[in-house]
Amino acid sequence: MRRWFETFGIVVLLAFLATAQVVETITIKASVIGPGPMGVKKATNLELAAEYLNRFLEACGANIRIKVEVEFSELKWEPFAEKFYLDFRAGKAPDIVTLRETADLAEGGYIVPMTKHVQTFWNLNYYDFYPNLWEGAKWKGEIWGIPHDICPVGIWYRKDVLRALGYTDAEISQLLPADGNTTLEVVARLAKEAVDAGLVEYGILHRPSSGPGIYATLLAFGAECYDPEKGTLVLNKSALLRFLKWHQELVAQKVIPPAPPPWATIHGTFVAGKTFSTWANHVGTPAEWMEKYGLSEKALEEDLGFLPFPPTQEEKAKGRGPVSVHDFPLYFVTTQSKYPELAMLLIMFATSPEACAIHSAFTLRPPYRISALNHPLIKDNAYIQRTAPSAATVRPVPIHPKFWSYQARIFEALKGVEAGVVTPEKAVEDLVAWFLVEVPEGVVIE
Amino acid sequence: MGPSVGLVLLFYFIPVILTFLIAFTDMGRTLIWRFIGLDNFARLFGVGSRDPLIPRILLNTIVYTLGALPLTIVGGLLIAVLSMRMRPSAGLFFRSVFFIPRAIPPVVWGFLWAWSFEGTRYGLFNAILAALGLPTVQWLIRYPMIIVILANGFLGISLAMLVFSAAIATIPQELTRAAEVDGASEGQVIRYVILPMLKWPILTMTAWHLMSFLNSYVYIMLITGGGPYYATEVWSLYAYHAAFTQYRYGYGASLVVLLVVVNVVLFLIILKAFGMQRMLTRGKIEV
Amino acid sequence: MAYKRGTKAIPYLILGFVAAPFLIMYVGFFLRAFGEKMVLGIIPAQWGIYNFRFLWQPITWGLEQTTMWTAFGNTMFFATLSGFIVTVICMLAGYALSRVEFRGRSFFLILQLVLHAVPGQILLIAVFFLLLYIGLLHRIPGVALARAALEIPLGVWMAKGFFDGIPWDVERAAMVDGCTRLQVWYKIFLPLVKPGIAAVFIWGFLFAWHDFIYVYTLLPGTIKVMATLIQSLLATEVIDYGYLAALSLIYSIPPLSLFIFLQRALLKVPIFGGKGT
Repeated sequence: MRRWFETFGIVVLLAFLATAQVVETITIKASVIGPGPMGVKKATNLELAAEYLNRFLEACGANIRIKVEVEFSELKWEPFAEKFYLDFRAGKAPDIVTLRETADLAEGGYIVPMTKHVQTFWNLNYYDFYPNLWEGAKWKGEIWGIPHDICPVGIWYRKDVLRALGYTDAEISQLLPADGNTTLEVVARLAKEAVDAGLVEYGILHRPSSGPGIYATLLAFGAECYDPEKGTLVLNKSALLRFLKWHQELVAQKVIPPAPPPWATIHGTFVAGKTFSTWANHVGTPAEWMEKYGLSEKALEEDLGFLPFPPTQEEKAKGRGPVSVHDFPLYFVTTQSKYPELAMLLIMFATSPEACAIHSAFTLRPPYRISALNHPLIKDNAYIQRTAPSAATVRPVPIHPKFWSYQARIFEALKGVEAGVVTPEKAVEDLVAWFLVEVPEGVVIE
Repeated sequence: MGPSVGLVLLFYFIPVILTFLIAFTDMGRTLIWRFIGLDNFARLFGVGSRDPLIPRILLNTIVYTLGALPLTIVGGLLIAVLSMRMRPSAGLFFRSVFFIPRAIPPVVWGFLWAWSFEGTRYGLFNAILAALGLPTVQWLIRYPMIIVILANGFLGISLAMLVFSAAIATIPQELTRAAEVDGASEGQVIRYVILPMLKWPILTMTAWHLMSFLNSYVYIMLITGGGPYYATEVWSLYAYHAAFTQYRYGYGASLVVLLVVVNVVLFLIILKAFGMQRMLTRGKIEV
Repeated sequence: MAYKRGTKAIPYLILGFVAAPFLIMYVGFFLRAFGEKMVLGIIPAQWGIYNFRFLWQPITWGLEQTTMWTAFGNTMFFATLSGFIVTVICMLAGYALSRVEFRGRSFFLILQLVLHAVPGQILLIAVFFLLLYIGLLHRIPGVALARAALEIPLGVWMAKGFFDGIPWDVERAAMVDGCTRLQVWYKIFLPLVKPGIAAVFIWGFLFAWHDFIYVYTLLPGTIKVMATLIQSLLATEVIDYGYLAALSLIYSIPPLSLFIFLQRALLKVPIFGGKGT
């Protein structure tokens, strides 16, 4: 009942906003990135939201209507962000934009804080978002945007390869359980067996660029990079060293290639069964594999397994659980919006359980709110129901303006170590030197 | 004259001034002007906080320039002298082979090298090695600096060779004939007759390419991307990366400012050393 | 220029040895472009044009898609525009220089050296902001303008050379006949300097056609020219070198043929300039 009172509250608020006698149409512009075609529901959900919002407005006799103009972009992140900044400079920024770099946007005065909005409508809409998601939306005490997509990264592996090695299905699900309750060493051992038996070309492939999958692996080694309490970056020397040495060892064993192959090779060889395990992908990747690489429904069901990154043996002994990471964009309201309240309401309707389920059903990614799991659209989708629990274990990518340049350095070190052009010790030393300069307020753990 | 001066002003002088201005800001991808004084330069010179990569970058730049420059001059001389001492058709053939790097687009030249020296068995030289039953080599990981020096050096050679050939062509045949009649060997003709006549072209080409290599990064970017682990990251490439991949325009501009200053100083030294007047009167090098 | 015939094999041996790796690269490149089903990785078992399928099929990589013809058209537009700007400006300036008392040689030599010491490629950051502020960033005309500026010093010098070759008398006669200076320029000189115009245009065209770093940095990823298309395929796609070699070959045909046809006219310029390697 309480929720309905609040709905009534909005309606009153909107009626108050609409002082004009005639029905006035307000245009809200939104610029939404996929990236790629899979994210299209993030855009269409805003259009859907406008319908609902207008119905509400009509029901309460308000004199305004919303018209949404959504520009959906299949660009990659970088050019999309660049375009946004240029548009903003030119005073042509949309009311709503989806981006990732929350800290930069907040500090630069590009977006308005939404803490108040989220608090006001908490019980109406935001109550059942996975709580860990908010951590990825907060910077300096404010909530800046609304999560609307999660794709937890994890380890994909080929069960058929394991069967060819002589493992039974029961053994496989015990060695590599879907909840990630195992260790990284087990994955590496199985990959080595597959390579040694000549069943696959690559044992393990990680990302060819820095990204959430690399960060998740770092966490599995206990190499924490961020302290959310203090909002500072962290460098754990011994954990980083273990992380690098472990990769070096696997390259020596020919489980990991000395240079990471490009994306298309990762996708192609994994779908073709020539790669045992890819660490470069997330729970929603099969949608792409089916569309572009000819993965069959049957193969996905029978031959592919997914689990969050299990900790190393050492870390598991210390009590660390499996970890997954997501790097999701948020719906932001820009400071150039003339109607920030309306834009926020629109976002609220665009993240309803129904909208969430639509997005989830289309992308095969877990819903970002718990109640959406019961939505008829995805209630019977076995794949989503099976992988949905990973949503609860994800860690958000830290919101720190320098986090990605930090990750880029770590990744450069990883590539250098794998290529054999720098020793793990020297690489860590270089990282610390960089860290001390670039992040003077950061914490270095020996 | 007007529009020409205007355009040159617009795209050379204003950029130089803009570069200097941006170098004193912490301009990032948010494109906000915020002046931070000498912070960028302090970081470069290691006052207070120090960019730990700078020594490595500096060393790379020196190794790269000192590797590619002699290669260009010596290689250009070798090809020019030898090809001019051949049957004309053969000489022309060899000069054409070595001119191709300049005739094809940079991206194609970069592709040729990246492909030829690819580390897997798909690379050209590795495919040949594999066909001969030899183990393949991770060229770009093992010898990245040598490869970028060769790729850029042979681009320099294509210009140097032409200039030297043109200069050799102006040497009167009587001179070399006379020397040969006097019993001078091929080597002696080259050493005592031809090379002294090439002094001026050699000096100009050296000066020219010194600046070329200091400022060049496009081919390195295309072939190794500066890697592996900063092994081929030279100063100008580092500036480019700072600005356009890390979006630290301010810091990138400060790197460029230093490069511009070094270039201008070198330029003045060269003018002084060669003698301004001589450069003007004797700079008649036409191909 | 045969100083001595045949007997001395040493120059041939040395140059042959130096040229060998390059010949292997060039030949390998051709084999790869026209070969299908490579034997031992380098020798084609079958000839064909399968690698050239981009001529009639769209090119897709990652999540992106374009056609060869779009990229080719963009490159053509970019290079033609840049060449046009270079030609117009250089011809006007070259004429002025040629007809006024001016110590052009020294001035231009110094200017060229100065511009070479601070080449466009290292001023990219500032050019980026300049184009941003004048509203031409991410647009082909803006980048063509910026690119054209790089060739102007040398282009003006070339144009001046061509005007110098035309006797004063022609102009004077025309002036006496009552033509204005612009009419003189248009009616008398233009026909006489046509070869010069062609050379300057090709000069500007070629370097814009070759350009990578300007278009890569100053155009958005959605506007692909041949250079950036090949680069992004090289960077992200499954390694299909035959396809890339074929695409590179198509991209290289215009400059290679121009170089071959116009070798003499093009190389008849002061050597200062050239590509700012």
